[in-house]
Amino acid sequence: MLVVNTETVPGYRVLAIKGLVQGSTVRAKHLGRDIAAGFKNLVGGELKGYTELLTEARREAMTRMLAQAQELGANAVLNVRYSTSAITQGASELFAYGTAVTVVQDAQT
Amino acid sequence: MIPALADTLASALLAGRANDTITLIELAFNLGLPLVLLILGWLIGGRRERAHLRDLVRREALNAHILCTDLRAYGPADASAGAMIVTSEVVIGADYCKVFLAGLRNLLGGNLRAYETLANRARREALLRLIEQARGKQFNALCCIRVESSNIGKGVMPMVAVLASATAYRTAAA
Repeated sequence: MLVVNTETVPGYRVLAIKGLVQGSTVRAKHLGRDIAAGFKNLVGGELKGYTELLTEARREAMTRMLAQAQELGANAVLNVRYSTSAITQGASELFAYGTAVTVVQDAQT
Repeated sequence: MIPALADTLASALLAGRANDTITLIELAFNLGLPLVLLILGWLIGGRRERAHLRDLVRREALNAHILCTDLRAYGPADASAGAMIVTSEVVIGADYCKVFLAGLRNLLGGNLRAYETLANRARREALLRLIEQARGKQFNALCCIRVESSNIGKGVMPMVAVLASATAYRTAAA
């Protein structure tokens, strides 16, 4: 599946627009991670546990979005956007959406 | 912390001589712990921040030739290489010293310099991770870069969470 952030893909032509697809997830880290982050917050630096949380959430949201695209028979998702919100302390919602389309490779560009 | 301090001070003033040692210990604890954390945050946090900034400068120099734009359109692209979305996440926490300084600054208003550098570091790191991901997959240009601040639970711990995404592609050989 071709997934991009833009409205076009170089070398490809959009055949049909299948519609909006989306995927979202709300994830939290276990308490241990929160405590570790609390200590880390005394001395500063990257809070790896929370970075991981976002990475996992983004992957999950993406997977769900792609599953929807597959269901629609698309072979590409264009103009993908992410959006996040905090639901409670230590949990975050990640929402991914894009336009599912079918594309074909141009014979010669 | 501040109400606790005020409490201790008030009781130290009011309690006569009898409770002197107890209030002294209390005072030392209430005043000492934040002070130790403050110094710890200042020393270790400061060193970590400088190390991170040095690392950013080094990696930015390494990746200076990568064409990065936030335009929705591609530059001259090598169509045979295709294109692909890349994303990165960075969460950076403040240290105790920054939190304290920002607290003071908040009383007066103005730029919270301590947090500005934090946000700045997170964004630069996120962008570098995008570039490094793209390079890892043999792409050499990024367009449609989107950077947004995320939020992991509001409040208690001051941190900057950045989520960045972009489309990686290969520029046509010039």
